Amino acid sequence: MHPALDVELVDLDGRGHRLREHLGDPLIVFMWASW
Amino acid sequence: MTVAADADVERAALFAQRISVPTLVDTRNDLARLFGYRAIPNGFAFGRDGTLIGSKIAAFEIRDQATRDLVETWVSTKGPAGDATPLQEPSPEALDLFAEGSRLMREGRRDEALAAWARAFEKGPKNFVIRKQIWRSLYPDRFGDPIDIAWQKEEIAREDEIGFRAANPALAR
Repeated sequence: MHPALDVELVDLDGRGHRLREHLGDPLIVFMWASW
Repeated sequence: MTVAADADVERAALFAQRISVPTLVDTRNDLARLFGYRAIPNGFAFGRDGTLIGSKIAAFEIRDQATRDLVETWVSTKGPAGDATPLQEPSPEALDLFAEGSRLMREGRRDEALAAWARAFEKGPKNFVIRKQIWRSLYPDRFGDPIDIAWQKEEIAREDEIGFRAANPALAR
């Protein structure tokens, strides 16, 4: 299990989530920013 | 899914409204520490067992065919694919200061937050995640829709010429 999957992130309402909750086959993560 | 590298969830949410898949926000830039990046956009793929099967750092441009091909390969093979992207090795000290600044920003202590972010940038002057987060706070008008890319290029040139603090006098010490 990659450690990034356990990093605490937040959803758009500010609630905590981890990527491991979204594991798929595969899970693809696109990182972006508003800036 | 997507992850926004914004310190400000509300700002990220404005843009995320247009995204049809779940979006989370990495307000402390913690993923940069694990993946070793100083810029975005980035792409990562994990297998069902949680192993990292692919990554593309700082050049995961979804408009590019090469990026779409890479994603197709991740989806079809469900295994390692594509060239491993060299890590950028961000300064741990810079990441610590940035995380501290993000905490202060969430507490509404903007000046102190900006000061911490500025120190973070000085520890990691190639870190665009930190640099742009500072700009985002100092110059919100430049980050509407569309984002003023021409201004960003001019700002980089100006900062390179006269120095980051001189170019951004609003930053507190």
